[in-house]
Amino acid sequence: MTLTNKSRSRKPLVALMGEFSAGKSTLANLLLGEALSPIQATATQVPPILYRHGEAAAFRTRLDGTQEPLDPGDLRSATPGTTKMITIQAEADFLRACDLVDMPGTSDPNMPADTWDSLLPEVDCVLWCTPATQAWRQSEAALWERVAQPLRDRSLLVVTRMDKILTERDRLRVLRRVQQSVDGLFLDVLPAMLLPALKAADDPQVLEETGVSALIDRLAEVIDADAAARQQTVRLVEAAAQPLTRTEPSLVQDAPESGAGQEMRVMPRRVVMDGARTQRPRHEAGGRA
Amino acid sequence: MMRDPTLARQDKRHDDMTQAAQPLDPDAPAEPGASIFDMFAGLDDLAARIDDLDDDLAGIGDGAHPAIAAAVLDLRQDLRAFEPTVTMIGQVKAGKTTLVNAMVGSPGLLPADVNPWTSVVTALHLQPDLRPSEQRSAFRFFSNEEWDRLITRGGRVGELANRAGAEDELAKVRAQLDEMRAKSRRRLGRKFEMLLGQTHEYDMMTEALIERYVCMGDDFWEDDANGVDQGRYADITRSADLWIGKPDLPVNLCIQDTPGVNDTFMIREQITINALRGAKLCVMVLSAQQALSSVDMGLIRLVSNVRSRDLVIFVNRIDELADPVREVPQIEASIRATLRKFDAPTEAEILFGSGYWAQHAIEDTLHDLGEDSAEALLDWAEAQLPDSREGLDPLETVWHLSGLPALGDAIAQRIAHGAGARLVERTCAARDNLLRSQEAGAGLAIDIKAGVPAKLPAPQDLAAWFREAETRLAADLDARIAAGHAAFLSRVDRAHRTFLDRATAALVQHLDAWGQDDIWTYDPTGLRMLLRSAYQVFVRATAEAGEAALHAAAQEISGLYRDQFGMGGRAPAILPPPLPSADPPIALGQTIALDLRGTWWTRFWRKRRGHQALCDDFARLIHEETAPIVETLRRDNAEAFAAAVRAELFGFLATQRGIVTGLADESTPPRRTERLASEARRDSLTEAQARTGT
Repeated sequence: MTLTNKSRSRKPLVALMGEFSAGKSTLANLLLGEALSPIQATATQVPPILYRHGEAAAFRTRLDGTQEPLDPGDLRSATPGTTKMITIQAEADFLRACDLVDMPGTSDPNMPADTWDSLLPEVDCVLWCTPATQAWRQSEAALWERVAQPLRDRSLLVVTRMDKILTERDRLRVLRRVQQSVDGLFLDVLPAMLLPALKAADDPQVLEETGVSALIDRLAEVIDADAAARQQTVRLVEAAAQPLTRTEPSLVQDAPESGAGQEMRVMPRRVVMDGARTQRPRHEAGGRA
Repeated sequence: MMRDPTLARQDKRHDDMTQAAQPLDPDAPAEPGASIFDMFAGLDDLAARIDDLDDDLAGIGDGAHPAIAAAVLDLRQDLRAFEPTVTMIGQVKAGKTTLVNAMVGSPGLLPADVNPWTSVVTALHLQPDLRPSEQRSAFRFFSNEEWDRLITRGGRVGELANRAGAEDELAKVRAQLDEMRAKSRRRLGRKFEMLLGQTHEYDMMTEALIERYVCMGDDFWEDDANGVDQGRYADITRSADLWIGKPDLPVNLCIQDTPGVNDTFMIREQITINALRGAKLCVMVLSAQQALSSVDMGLIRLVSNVRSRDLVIFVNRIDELADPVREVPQIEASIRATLRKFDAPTEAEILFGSGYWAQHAIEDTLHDLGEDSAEALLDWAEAQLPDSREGLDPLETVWHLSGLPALGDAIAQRIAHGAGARLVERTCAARDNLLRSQEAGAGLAIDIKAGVPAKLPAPQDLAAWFREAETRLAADLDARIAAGHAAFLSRVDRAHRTFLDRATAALVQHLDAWGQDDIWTYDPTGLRMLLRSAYQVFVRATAEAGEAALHAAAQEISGLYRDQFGMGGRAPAILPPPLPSADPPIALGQTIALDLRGTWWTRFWRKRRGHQALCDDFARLIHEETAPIVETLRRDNAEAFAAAVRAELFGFLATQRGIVTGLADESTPPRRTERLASEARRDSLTEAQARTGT
């Protein structure tokens, strides 16, 4: 499948990949600042979902390449049997800098093994999610080794679910082991606690502690480099210079919805989330990836 | 729990009583919290049954003729040696080791870690009668041949699971193995060659020993100062056996922990697959976070020829779910749907739980669960606990919620109806025979005392009689087995041909209709079914032959009493023992190329040009792919079963020979007869085994 101009902007394409239930959708929601992606404990048989910047809308691309509108609340009606890809348009700031595609999880016995083969050539950077509790198994390693070297060199391994590893020492040991086994296969290995970050999405301190700030920084560097390389005009929002407007820790649910005077709330340094429009990810929605 | 003691046991009980007055060995593992962490109460009935049988036998042996007493001793020894095995399988880091530790009731026993550590098949022999001072351990190292076999006879989970790059895995495993060997050689120096094939035995069982032999150290963790001895031998250790006293356990039980599949260090996978060969009862451990991935399916396919009632699926780590109450039913539905879709054993029992919760219940460290896990536990408790359970001890409640008691029940039930039932059946038959022989012996003794001229055969005549009977019956049995074997091979051959003809015809049709660019697939299920039915026919035929031989042997021994001892109508009716059971044909779970829808097959297809070349190569491919499966089926299943049937016949004849010879020789001093009987039995078994090469 190739992405037609109609569905693709010229922005860099970031792909979320990994085995099913590795945290891809949680990470998508975190990056987008909205619970746009369906999250489930079991394997979700959903075709690739492309997120791009624009007025809120959703449509699906049928197997024959034709498109039709889709009810965003009913993404499940678009199964891989009938749908090549789902496209979701949202005004998330993250999408100003790049397009994001959430790939179907690998190692799902109910999905053909090569659903993502055809999309991969268009991808500029992969965020491969691997859960800390069972990090980096052969079924992942073998797939990743088949990805072309230039793409691997621009891609990040995100060790998710770090919050399930209870001590600092153990977290470090898992990370060291993973770093050792993927030596040279990724640009970088980054630990992340996605759920705690999602629960407190606008608390910079939490974002720092959960590793999400570092992840976004690193991603921004990659995207910037990529964008520069393609002489893209689309840049990351220059919000980095803005002072952080919120510093006190607070749970999302408790946070007052921002009014007119506070349109821009700053996510760590470079990626801005629009507080007014964002439907905040709730705990239930982010139940499990 | 003490069963009725033999003499040896009485000594021990005496020891126990004296010891009870003294402080316990400080190194002794803590007594498990008595009844609340007892998960194998489901074995109580079986234990009671075994106790009753042991009582019966003790009664028979008490003051019995030495020949009978010797046979009684053997049988009681068999009862005591009874040790059903449950094998834990699953992916690396599914939580098998934590679960095993909780099952044993000793959370720190085997090192469970955030990184995969288990690299060895560890057998925990749990024995109710073993005292702490008697605990021991043995660690066996690989030999070069065993390493090679690890590669050549490894299963192919990667291919079954359609894992990327599966076609190159064998080469990768080989490379990893070479590297590991080289590393061990460097570390162990000259000792390396010497160690291979050896076993190190210890009269103790400590965590330090286990670490030294079982755990791969963190060689990337350089700051770890205490890791000097840790994992010193781990990469050359093939198996670890630990004997552990567990007073609460109703019967002996062996729990086998395996390293798991899908580790990037693929030797672990090979070790696990090799451990599956002897496995009869498996617990497949899944991680709730990612239940039933394609690799799990591959593993299930590999054991799919284990009778599905002997497969229990335990979905572990539900403590890591954010909302177990909502997610567990979804996970279960998804597992069932996938099993159905892929024609896997759908009736396998699926249980949910958390070895982590169980561990904290045993350690009494519920405050250490961590916030998320504790929250999940509370939610789960609310949904799972019936009102009647309220007010129970919190530790007991958590233990219940951990799913371990349900897992224990599932295991116990399968043992009670499987290996346990067979033991009971077998021992009952032997006991009844002993009673009959005893009665006959008593009749003879009364005759002799009463001065009735008893006609006792001379020992050398009896020996000759048994030799003749054994030779003849064995020859008969062998002939029938050989015929069955030939029929088996020709069935297999026919299965091959039939399948090949059909598949090739379909291939030609496909080529005619679509040409060569369209990749053709053909389902090999038909071939598997043909092979399985060939094996089943063989098993049935061999079982019939065995039954006939045992029946004939029993009848002829009855005849011996009747004619040679002149007992006429008072002669005992000796019963044949039950047949051993045949192993399930696990080899049939192996992949064949046709199973592979992935790159391997595509590559095969694309490389060939021309219809004829494709058809020829296809035929050769099927032959090459199935030959090892058939060979394993022949050697590990068919021949092993035939050997077991033969051994049963020889064992039965040897026992009877001991008894009959003893009864005939009134003047024999007890000691000698006793030894004769059991030695004769053992010799005969050894001989049978030697002949069949098992």
